[in-house]
Amino acid sequence: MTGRGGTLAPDRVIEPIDSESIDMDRPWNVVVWNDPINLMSYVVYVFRKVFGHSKAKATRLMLQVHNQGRAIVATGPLEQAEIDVATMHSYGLWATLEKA
Amino acid sequence: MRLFVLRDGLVRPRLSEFEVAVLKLVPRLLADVGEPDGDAAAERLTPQVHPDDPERSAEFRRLAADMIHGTRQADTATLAAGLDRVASGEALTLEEAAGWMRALAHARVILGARLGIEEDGWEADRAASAADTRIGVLHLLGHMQDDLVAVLTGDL
Repeated sequence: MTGRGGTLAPDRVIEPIDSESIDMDRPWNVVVWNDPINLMSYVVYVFRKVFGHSKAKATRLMLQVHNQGRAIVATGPLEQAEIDVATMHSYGLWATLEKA
Repeated sequence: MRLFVLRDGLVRPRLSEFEVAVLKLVPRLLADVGEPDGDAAAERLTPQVHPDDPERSAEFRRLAADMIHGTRQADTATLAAGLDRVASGEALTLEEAAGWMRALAHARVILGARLGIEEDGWEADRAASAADTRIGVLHLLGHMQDDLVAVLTGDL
């Protein structure tokens, strides 16, 4: 609605934003957290076996987990990220998801 | 001495009777996991994947439970069946050895949760090791798992 001195231009229409659809479209990070039990050698093995990382990259990610407490080991669509995080759990690693 | 060696494409365990006896504890440990809401070990094995969204995490747990528990049960069965064969001198396939390795990882995580271990550095606490034999079991299972990792890494 316009008052005195208003224009005849149509009101701007703002489309409602569906936050859920944005969530689905955004990539997700698979985060592996440090834990005091799992062996360093095992974590490197899992990263190589599951994600196909080179020994150097898998070792770098393992050390990042160990020294910084966490590392992003994969990024992708939610469905793939959920498969990856479940796979980490099936190996006994502590993994969660976060929006990229 | 390596407790597992790779020869002719098969994994050959070199385990003492004591080590086999310790491994026989693993299926019991793996079976003794409750629901995530009331069991620290279960919470650790299936953590909330969306830390800020319990509802979404619960939904994920519901959907992924079959896959995660199914893998653990299969690995437990592989370990239990393999122990009987190993006692009679048989070797393991690489796939069976991978099942053993995962079963040991889960068993150690469960044991660590039962012991309340939350920080790095517990390995160096000799007094704690002397006071609780479960820490010795945790060490021994780690030694076995590390040898299996070494064997299986050669196959990557």
